[in-house]
Amino acid sequence: MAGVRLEHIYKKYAGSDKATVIDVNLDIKDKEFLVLVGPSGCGKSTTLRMIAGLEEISEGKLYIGDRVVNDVAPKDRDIAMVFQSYALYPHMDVYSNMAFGLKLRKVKKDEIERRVREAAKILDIEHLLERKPKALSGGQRQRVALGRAIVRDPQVFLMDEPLSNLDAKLRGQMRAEITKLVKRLETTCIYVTHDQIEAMTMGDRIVVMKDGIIQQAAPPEDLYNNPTNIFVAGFIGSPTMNFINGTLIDEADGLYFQAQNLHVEIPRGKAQILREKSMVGKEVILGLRPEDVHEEPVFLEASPKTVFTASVEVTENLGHEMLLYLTGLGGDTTIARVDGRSSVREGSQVQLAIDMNKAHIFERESEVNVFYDVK
Amino acid sequence: MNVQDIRSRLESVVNRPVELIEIGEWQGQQRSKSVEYQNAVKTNTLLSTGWTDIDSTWFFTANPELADDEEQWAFRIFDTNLLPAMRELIALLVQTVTSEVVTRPQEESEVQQLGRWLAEKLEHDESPQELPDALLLKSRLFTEMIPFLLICEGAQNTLGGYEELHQLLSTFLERDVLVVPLHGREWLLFVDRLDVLEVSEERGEEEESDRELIEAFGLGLYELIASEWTGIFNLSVTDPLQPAHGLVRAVRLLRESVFLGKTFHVTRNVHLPWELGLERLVYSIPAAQRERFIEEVEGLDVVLEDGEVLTTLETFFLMNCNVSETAKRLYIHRNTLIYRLDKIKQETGLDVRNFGDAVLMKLALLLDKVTKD
Repeated sequence: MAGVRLEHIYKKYAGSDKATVIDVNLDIKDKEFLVLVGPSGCGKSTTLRMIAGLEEISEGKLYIGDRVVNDVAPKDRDIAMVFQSYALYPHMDVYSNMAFGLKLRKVKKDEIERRVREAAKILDIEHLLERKPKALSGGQRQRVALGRAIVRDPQVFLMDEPLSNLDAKLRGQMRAEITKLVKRLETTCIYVTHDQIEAMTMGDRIVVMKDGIIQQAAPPEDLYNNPTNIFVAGFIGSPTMNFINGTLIDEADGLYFQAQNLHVEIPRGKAQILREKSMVGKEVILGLRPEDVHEEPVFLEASPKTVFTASVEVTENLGHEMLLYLTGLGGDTTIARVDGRSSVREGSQVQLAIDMNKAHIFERESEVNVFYDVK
Repeated sequence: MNVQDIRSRLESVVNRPVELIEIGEWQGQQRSKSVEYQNAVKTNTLLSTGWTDIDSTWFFTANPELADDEEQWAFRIFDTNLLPAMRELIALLVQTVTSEVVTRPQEESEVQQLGRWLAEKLEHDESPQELPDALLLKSRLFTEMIPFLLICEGAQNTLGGYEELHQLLSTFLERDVLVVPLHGREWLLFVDRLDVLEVSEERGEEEESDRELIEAFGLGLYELIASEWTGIFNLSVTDPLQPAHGLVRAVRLLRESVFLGKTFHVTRNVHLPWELGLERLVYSIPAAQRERFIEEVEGLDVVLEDGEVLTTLETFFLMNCNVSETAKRLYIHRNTLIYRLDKIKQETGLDVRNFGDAVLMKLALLLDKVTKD
């Protein structure tokens, strides 16, 4: 097994003015499960394809283990890639599909048999080994594609949106299975997805990319609780973080965030940071996770200076929780996640309070999180 | 490594066309040539190991004792200025690697002959409808096959050779496959129609068209070649044909598809001519007209310089101008997308939510890609 290191990697296509991937630096540890995530066109797949050897690296160095592999053919990189299309070879049965790569490498027959049987057992497809791809369901085909990668016993697994062709239910199931599998095999894995739920649930570490640039690389909980900028804050989390434009105002009893229909106190510790960074009086953006907006009377009583009133435009009761779509705060819709047993109804006025200890303040121009990495 | 592999690598290294000739066959073809050629043929000059200069063309015969006369071969390099040092280096290289060379099977020389013929017709912009009878492979080209064109781009040391590619594809496919080298880095593959479309008979209720199956097969072939042979390449494929008829035109279409695909869709590697109609049309517009069109869209340069706006527009068109779907795909709030679209309207006067303006913007984006070159 091996780690992967990207040093100042750039990708620029001929005829294009701008680089698609810009100065990517990543040190992926041995056995780490790293997820590259971002919207379409952010450069995540291009980065993965450069690691796989399917795209030329315009600038920078790529290491697999201690070896620079910029000019090494994919088949000689000791990697196994699972593609989005996971095209199985239609005329071969499942066994042959999985054994194919090993046969090409002239691995001995009994060793091929051992590896294929073992992988099939791990993936629970032993009973499918004699079937042709056309007789398999989407999930089973995906398992075979994974099996094809596993039998090669590579140093690194590369997966390019491998679940995107599956329906939502199967995707959830396979998500858990791949995570378990990679942990069991103790192999480094680099996984590309545009789905933040996949990223959050699978990765030891997540790399969020936008316009070819890494925005943040951190474990899921850090990314969620301590996003570096508005893009990361908005990308990670569902429903997405609320953003409310307003101003920081210094008053006699403390620092306040002031916006349309909203006047809430900022906790002392955070106010201190904002003062030190000369943010007082400036226009900023308040970032608020839906679950940090509370409806419980106990919370409202305990935080009287963060209470506000809003109109409920829509409610979505999901059983265990209810989403309230509120209007009137900062001119945009704000979402609150409250208890599923809440009695709040559409069209009503509701009093809520904000857990300002968990709120984020972003600079208006740079969109940077003022509290990012402040100890 | 086989002889053909050595030839393609040599061609890339010396950066000049290198031809592999069967000495016996070649001698037979030289009757009408110059006196020097005839002398060479008569005296069997090519049968001695080493370099021979005939009529400003260099020949290198590697290992005449390998087999009988008919199976001997030589490299032919069309260059009067080939330096002696380079010749010596090539000789050293070839003699080293040919110590284990296996004589080419018959098929390899036949596909090579076809490749040479095709390359010549393409170079001279000729499009004969029929293959000449002199091509030894012709009799095998009357069945329906699906042609793929593979153009490699990666570093030289990541590129395998004929034998490796042929073996890989033969293992992959159920029926015979023909691998025709067109150039050191360009290969034409003929896959039996049934290998690609036979699943259609077992498709059941989900009717997939032949073109959908060809595309799916192309993606699978791409994965296979990328993982097992060479990493960086482009692939194009077109409808089934009998190669004996209209082959040159088909290869020209495949080449054009790779070119257009690479120009307009840089991140794609499998290119389908039937998906490149608009691109073909746009590319055919004269340069002056293209530039004029772009100049007439006010503020377009500002929009095109902003990567975020470009991605927004491309995704918007990909999602059939659906605002909600585009916002979802880009992971931005619907209002953010509307704000961006309004901003584009402000800058260019084009509101891409209207069909007419969307068409103009789509054309402007495509034209911009070709005017940059």
